[in-house]
Amino acid sequence: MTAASFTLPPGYRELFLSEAGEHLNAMARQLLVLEETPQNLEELNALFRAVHSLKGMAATMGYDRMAALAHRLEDVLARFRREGRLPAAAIEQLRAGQAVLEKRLEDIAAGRPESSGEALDCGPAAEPATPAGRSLVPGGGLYELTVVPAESGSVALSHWLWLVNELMRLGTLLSCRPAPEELAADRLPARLEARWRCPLAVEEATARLVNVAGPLHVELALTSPPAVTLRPGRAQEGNRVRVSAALLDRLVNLTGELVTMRHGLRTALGKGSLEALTEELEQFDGLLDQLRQEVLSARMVALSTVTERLPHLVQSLARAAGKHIVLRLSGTEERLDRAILEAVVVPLEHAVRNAIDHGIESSGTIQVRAVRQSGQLLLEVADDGRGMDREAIRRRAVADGFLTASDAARLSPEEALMLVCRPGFSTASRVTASSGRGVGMDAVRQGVEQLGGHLELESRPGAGTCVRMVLPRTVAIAPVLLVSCGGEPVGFPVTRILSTLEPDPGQLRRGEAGWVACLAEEELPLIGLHVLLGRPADWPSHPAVVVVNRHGRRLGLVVEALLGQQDVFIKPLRYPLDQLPGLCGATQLGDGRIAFLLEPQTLLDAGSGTVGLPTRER
Amino acid sequence: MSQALLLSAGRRLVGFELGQLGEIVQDRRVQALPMAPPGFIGAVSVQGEVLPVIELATLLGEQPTVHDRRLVVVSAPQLAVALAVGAVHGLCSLTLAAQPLAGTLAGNWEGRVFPTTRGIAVLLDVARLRRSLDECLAAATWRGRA
Repeated sequence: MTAASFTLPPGYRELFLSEAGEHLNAMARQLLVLEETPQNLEELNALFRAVHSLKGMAATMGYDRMAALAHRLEDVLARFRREGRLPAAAIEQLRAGQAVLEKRLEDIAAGRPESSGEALDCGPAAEPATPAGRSLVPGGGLYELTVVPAESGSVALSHWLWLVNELMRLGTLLSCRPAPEELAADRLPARLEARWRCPLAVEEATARLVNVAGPLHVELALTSPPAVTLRPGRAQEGNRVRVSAALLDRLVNLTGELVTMRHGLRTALGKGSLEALTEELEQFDGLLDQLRQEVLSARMVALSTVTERLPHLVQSLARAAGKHIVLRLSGTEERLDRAILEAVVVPLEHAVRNAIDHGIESSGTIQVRAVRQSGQLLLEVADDGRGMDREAIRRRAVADGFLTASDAARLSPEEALMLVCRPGFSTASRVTASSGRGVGMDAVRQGVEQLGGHLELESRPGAGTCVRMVLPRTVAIAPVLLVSCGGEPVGFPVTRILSTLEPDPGQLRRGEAGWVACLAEEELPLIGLHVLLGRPADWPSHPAVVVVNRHGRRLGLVVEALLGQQDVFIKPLRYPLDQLPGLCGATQLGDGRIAFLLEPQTLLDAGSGTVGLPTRER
Repeated sequence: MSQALLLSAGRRLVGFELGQLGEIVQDRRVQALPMAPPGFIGAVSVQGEVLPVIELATLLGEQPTVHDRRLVVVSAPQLAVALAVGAVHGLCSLTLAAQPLAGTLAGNWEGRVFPTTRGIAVLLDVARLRRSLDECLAAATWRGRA
C-alpha cells in the first residue's frame, strides 16, 4: 500500500512531516541520554513512545516502509525495556534505524518513494546499515574545503579550474568562494573555500582531489553527514508555525473588535464630531497595537527547535575528532521569530563546530546559552578550551597583509580579537595551536549581521572562547532610527546604533585623517553618510551624528537630521537589491516614501575605499 | 501565437514575452537607491514590494535616452525589477518564430530576433536579464573595495 491510495487532505501530510520530524529529533536526543545512562527507564519509555507514535502516524498515512521499520525498532525497545537497560549495541542499532527513518521522511517530503534500508528492515539482529570501512557516506557527506597554494606565490589558473572541475564532477558544490564563474573569468584567487556534498568517504575524496591539485594544498573536513545535519527547515516545512487555539481565539476576538470599531468610526464621521473621531482613533490605535503583538507572537518559535539536535551533532563531531566533549544547553525555551530561527542555524552550527575543532583540545565543555536582554536575544557558544591569543592574531594579520604593524598596534584588545572574523583570515591549521581559530568565523559574523544582529567575541589564552550572537527577536516589525541623507530618508536598526549626537559646530574639527567630533571622552572620527551612499549632498552645516561600531571601533556617520525612532514593518529585499552591500531591508513610511535600512558595518566595509578607511581585505 | 511587449532602449528595439511581465506602472516616485551600481537608477514600491528601477539601455550597453513615464515591471520567481525604457510601443505578435541572431552580432544579451513594423527587435527573457544584472553587480566599484 502506498500513500497514494489514501485521500487524506494535503494538510495532514504537512502535519505528519512536521510531527514525524519532531519525534525523530526526540529519538536522537533520547538515544544520547541513554548512551550515558543505559538504565534510565524514564528516557527508555519516552523513546518507546516516540517510536510508537511514529509508527502509528506513518501507518495512518500509508507510509508502510517507515511504519514497518518503526515497528522493528519498537520490538527492540520492548525487549530491552523488559530487561531494564539498553546495551550499547542496541543503541547503535537504534541510531542506525533513526537515520534510515530520517532518510525516509526526507523522501516523503520530497515526494520520492521511501528509500530502502533492507538490512534494518530484516530484523533487530541484522547488520547495521553502514558497516565500517565502506567508502561511501550514505546520502553524501557535507565537506568544507580550503584550498591554498602549497608554496608562496601564485598558482596558474588552470590548476584552480581543474580542481573545481573535479569537485563538480565528484559531487555538488553548495557554495564556492570565489565562484567558478569568477575563476572562468580569469580572476586568479589566493585562496578558495567551498562547501561540497560528495558521496565519497573523506580519505577517498581527499585522495581524488590531491590527485588533481598539483601545486595546490587541499584541506578537506567532513563537517556533517546527513544524519547529523540540523534540520530546522523540516520542522518548519512549508514555512508553517503552530498556533495555539487560544491565540487564534484572541485573534478572532480582536478582529471582531476591529469590525465594531469600524462602525464606531463611521458613526463619528457621520456626526462630524472631531472629539468622537479622536476617541475612536485612540481606541483603534490600542487595538492595532494589540493585534500586532498577537500576530508577532504567533511567529515566535522556541529556540529548542534548532538546539535539540545539537547534542547529536556535538557527539558525532567529537567522536570523529577523538575528543570527549560535554554539551550544556540553557535558555533554549526562549522564543524567536521563525525567520530568525531558521537563519540562525548556520552561524550557530559554525560556532559549535569551531569550538569542537579548534577550541577544545582533548576534552571539555561547550555551553550553548540563550538569554533575553531588552528586546534582544543573546545566544552564546562558550567553550573552556585553549582560547585565543590576541597577540598571535595581530601578528598573523600583519603577516598576511590584512593591516600594517602600526595599525595592528593601535587595535584595542576587542578589535584584535575580531580580526578572526575577517574573510580569508588564516585558520587554525596555519596558525600556532595556541592562537589559531577562525574557520567559518566570517560566515558566523555575516550570518548574524544579515539578521540585523551583531557578533561579540570574548577569549583569553587557556580560558576558553565565547562567541556571542546578539540577535533581534523579531524581524517583521522592529525599531528603526530614521535619518535624512541627501534629502531622502534612510534607517538604521536601533540594535546597530551605539548612540546619536547633535554636536555644536565648535566641536567639529578637520584633522589629518578627516573630520572628527571632539567630545569630552574621545575624538570621534566622522564620515559623511552621503559620501558612503553616493548621494549628492554637501556636508551639513548643523550635522547630526549616528555613532556605530566598525570592527570594534566607534565611528560617527554624519547625517542631515535625525528624524526619530519608529517601529516599522521591515520588507525583505529580493534579488538584485539583496546584493547591494549595506542594505538589510526597506520600509515604506506613512507618506509613501521608501526608506532603505542600512547595516552600518557592511556599509562601511563596502565604502571603505571611498572614505579612506582601512579596507577589510588585502 | 505568443505576444511580446515592444520597447525602445537606447537605439534598440526589444521585446519581452508577456508571460514574464508583471505590469506597467506610471508616474511612480522613483527614489534614490543607496550603493546603486551603474544602471540602477532608483527604487519604487509596486504592490507593496520594493523594486529597483533598472535602466534597460545601460544594461544593453546603449546610451540612455529620455525615459518613458512608464516603468515596465518584470516579475518572475528569480527576478523582480522595474525597467526604465525609452518608449513603450505596445504589444506585437511573434508571428514568426524568433530566430537566433547570427555571427558577431550575438552578444551576451541577444539570442533571438523577430521582425516588427518598427524594425527588427531583440527578444529578451528573464534569464538573460538576470545574467546581465549579475555582470553589472560583479563589476560594481564597491565590489573592488569590499
